[in-house]
Amino acid sequence: MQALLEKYLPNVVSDPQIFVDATIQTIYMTFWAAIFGGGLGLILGVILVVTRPGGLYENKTLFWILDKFVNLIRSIPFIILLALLAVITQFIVGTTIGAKAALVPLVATVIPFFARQVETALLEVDPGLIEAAQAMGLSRLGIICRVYLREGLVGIVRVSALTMISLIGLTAMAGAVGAGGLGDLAISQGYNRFENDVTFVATLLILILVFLSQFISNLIIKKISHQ
Amino acid sequence: MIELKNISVTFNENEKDEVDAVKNVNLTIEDGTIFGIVGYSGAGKSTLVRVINLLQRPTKGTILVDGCDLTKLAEKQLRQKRKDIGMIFQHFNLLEARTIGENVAFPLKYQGITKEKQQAKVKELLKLVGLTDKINVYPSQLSGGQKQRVAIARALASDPKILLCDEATSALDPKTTGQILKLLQKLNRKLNLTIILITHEMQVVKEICQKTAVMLNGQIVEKGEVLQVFNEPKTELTKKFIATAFRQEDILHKVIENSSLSPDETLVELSYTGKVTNEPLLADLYQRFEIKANILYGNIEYLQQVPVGKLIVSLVGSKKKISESLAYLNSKGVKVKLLNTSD
Repeated sequence: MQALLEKYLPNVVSDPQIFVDATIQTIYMTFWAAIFGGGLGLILGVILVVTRPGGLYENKTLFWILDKFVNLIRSIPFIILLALLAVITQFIVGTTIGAKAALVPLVATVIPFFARQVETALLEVDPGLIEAAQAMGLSRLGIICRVYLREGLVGIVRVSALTMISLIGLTAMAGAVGAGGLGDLAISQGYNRFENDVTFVATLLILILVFLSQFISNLIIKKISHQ
Repeated sequence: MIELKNISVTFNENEKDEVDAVKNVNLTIEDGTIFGIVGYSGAGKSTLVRVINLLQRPTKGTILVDGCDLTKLAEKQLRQKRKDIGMIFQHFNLLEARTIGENVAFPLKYQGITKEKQQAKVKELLKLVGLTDKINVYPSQLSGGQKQRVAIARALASDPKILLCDEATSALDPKTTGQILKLLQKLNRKLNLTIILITHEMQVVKEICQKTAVMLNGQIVEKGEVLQVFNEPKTELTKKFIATAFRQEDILHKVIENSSLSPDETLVELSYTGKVTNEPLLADLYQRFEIKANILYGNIEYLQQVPVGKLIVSLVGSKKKISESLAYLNSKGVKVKLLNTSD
């Protein structure tokens, strides 16, 4: 077994620690970007739903601005956003290099992405339920918390998994600013040094993370779905 | 008492196209009545019923519920007032992510009511609608009729005095419709609940309503006691609706098609109400005028416990005798309509 591994994965076997470090960095970036970006994206998504025409807090101007803002940010390729946000990153984190620095552009790109997904998920909630809740005398905030977020929960979990997977992909690109992680490992070591086995194992680890996210979200959906 | 005064609702899709969904409607609904608003889809009845709890703000007019002008209330007071007005819908609008018990308890949460009291109320309501055993089941496991029962229980959770029913039986089969209507009637009697019911089926109005209004193009074209409206419909639309309730139109066609009238036969429709139904009128016709009456179709319906009869008969006899006999029937309080004469 050992001989087989050394034959086919020579570079991996010689320094397995780098894979542990890179996996931790990828999880670190994904986790914190998901927490900050997910939280803010959820809020933005809810605001998009309630300010749209016919919404609970209808506000055409605000909706127009937010809607265009989301489109704008989503139109910028992530690799360019990394460069564009360098100044802001420097200001917030104090450096533009490393996993922590990569969090700023990651969060910035996750917010509009997730907001749009949440918006779509919440628009799936039957308008009849909103009407019924209004007829019962619920407050608007009550309707957001007890109807939209509760009835749209399955949809939100589903798009969370999607966002998570997309985020894992983005962390690979964050390697471009020296963020580390599995993607960085696959490119800077595996590709640039022609160590194909490193690329292969890094890819495998990324796939495992992706499948794990999908698996967990499916478990949650199964538990909370009653349709 | 609910009073709608000069209610108009105008939607402007864009600046140019204005749609008058409801036009200058005046309506008074007494406490404890079951009031049916009937009309085709697009007549504005759904909009009108939403004006009553202000889900739809009228462009013009006032809504008084027990003397309180809803349009003048601030949001918080309006929300409080809405708890006195329950509402059920065509598609039930149950929360799919919550159990039946949680659905019924939904309006009771965050109201400063203890968990025990909430549970007791939920059990009481589920018992009232006959679904005690479904308390921990999710809505997706229920049939349409059961879902509507849950919706009714939920609407009653805050002890409303008024229940608005927006096409509440339109998604249900005839048998289930009957059961839901019986339940509504029971609630009306037991809780003295005022029920406002909108529907496109005159059958529903016939079944349980005491008063009715017929809507067309956003306006009320006819209103009054159900018995009176059914007996003396004033507009063509009302007549059409009533015909569907008695399933008459179809039968009438078949009767006329299949009866080969001989030259001295006259086809007439006789309608009568109340105690006239107890008299042997056709026997009278023979004795007094020697008119032979052949019954082609007969039906008695009960509206608010009053029998309403309808007969289609062919009369055989001389022209003179026939017109005399029809005048006699008229004098007895029977309405006569000539369907077709042989010439």
